Amino acid sequence: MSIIALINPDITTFNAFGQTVIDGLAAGALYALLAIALVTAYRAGGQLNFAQGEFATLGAFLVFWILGSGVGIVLAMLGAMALSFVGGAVVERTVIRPSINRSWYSSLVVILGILLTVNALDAVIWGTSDVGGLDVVPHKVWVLVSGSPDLHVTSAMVSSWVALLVLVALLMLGLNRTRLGLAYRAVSSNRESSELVGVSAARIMALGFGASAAIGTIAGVLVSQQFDVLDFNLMLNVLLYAFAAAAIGGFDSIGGAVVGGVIMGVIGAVIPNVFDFVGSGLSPVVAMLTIFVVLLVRPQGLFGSEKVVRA
Amino acid sequence: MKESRRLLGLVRSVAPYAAVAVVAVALAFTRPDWEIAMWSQAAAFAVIILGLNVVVGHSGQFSLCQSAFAGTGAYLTVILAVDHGWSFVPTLPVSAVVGFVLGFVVGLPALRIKGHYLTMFTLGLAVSFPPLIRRFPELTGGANGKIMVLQWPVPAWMPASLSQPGWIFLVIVVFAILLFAGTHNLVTSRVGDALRVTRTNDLVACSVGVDPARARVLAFAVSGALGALGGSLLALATGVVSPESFGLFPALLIATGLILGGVGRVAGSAIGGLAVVFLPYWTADVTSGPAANVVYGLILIVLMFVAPGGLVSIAGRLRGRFTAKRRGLESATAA
Repeated sequence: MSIIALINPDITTFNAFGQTVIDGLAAGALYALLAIALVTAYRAGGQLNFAQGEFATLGAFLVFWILGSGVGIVLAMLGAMALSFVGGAVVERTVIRPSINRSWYSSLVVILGILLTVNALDAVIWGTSDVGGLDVVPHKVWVLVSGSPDLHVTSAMVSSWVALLVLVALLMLGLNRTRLGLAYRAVSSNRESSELVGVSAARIMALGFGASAAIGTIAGVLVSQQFDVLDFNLMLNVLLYAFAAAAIGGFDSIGGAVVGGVIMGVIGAVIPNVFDFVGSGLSPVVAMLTIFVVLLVRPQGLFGSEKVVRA
Repeated sequence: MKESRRLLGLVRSVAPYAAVAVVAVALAFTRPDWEIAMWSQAAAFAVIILGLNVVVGHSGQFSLCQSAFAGTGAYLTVILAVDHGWSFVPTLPVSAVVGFVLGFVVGLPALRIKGHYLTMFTLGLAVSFPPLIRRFPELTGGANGKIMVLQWPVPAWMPASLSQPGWIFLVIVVFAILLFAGTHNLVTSRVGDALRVTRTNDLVACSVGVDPARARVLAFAVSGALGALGGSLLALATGVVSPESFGLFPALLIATGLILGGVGRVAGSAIGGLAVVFLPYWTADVTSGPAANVVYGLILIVLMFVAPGGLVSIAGRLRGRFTAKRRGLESATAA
């Protein structure tokens, strides 16, 4: 069987392939956003936050809930982000951190417990069926090259990228130009030494976790908008792609998370569309195999500075 | 004197299994069929958790894909039995070998990395298993799952009062006891020592001639084999397999069973198996569906503060009060 025979014949036109890449880039922005949330929490506390996706889903539901009282989307998002920030910081301070030294697996188990609890709580409060995607910007479609199918971008895609770029710019400014950012970088590079020069590592860890939950909320809302869905399993696949993106990027680099997100977005859109036998159903498998290959070939990722503990 | 001591040792090591066997026989003959079916599932889950215990409790790597190993074994058994006319027992070696190889492959990144990164990959595998099963409907029955109608009547030499589910339960218990005894021997042998030394310190491991990377991959392979065997037993117990019963949330439930029973203790896996089956049954009186998952999530969180070593460690602590012989599980796992 030659490789040509495996390729989906519908994908060979310029428009069809181009659209797949555009869809991939748009999804990549979302993966990058959640990967940045993972990186933010990881750098602050050294924890892989398996519950990050659930925090994001909860954040999106909070927006949905606040919208119900009649306020605008911008206020609703700011409110949900503030709630997520406080919630994330409180959970880190009261549940995750006290568990860290109880045994080698206890913080991980606590995080898995949070994953399970938050996921189920969403389902209890808002039900298990789709309540409809959130709209941050009015729906618009711009056709770039007409044909069948049209090569187009949507306002949802553009808003995801704008959000990502603004967030990265703000984070870079905050991390490199403010005292708080300096303290955060100090804690992430060496917790003990930063304590010695008067930085409260405990406060930074809680802040980092809160910030990551707030960033996750942005990701959750934009995922809901772009995929036009909001249910309690909104972020499960996205989390997997964000993990793959963060692994490619090296888990402690924001720029790496963006590059990893774009790579995963394009891989995740192109492979199932080009190869018929993969199909869209297997998209988590694509992410899983990417993580496998990265861990096997380059465990520190492309941009990771901190070294992964070698076996 | 020496003879009697050896005899005592033998009795002490066989006694728990004999006790389990006696209880199982009593249950098989006295309890109603629907309840026996639950005991069968509990025994199967105990084996699945036993496999997870090897990789988590002994080699110190947190794995979330035990559900995928179990699913592989369960689907293999059902496909071989239904589509190829195999009887149940010959499917077990196939299941074990495939599970071992799969576990080996999953463990390969452990050659290069350590810690929670590997957990990330196992999470991916747990999420990916149901879509993979659905992808090949002609083989697996797709989203609807597959039903196993097994022709294995109660043999004539058994008392007539033994029901069909009772017989299946006894079969599962026999295999579970064999696997528990075998695993107990493995983890108390040099192999077990090799796994545990890699958990504490790689340099120490190397200095006593243990290749830590190889030990970690081996632990995954063993957990894969036990997980697949447990899955085969589970298929026999339930008579049906479906993709969603081996996804991420079953994986988290299996992990809950392990934690609740006791990480690193063989007896803990048995308790975990009971917990995985009977806990949802008991909580169903109060709450069901998603609300039950809230309960399990909270159990996980609270346990880490109350008893990170699980129920077995509480029993050990109580005994320690009386004998002053502390078998500090906490101190061993904290390392």
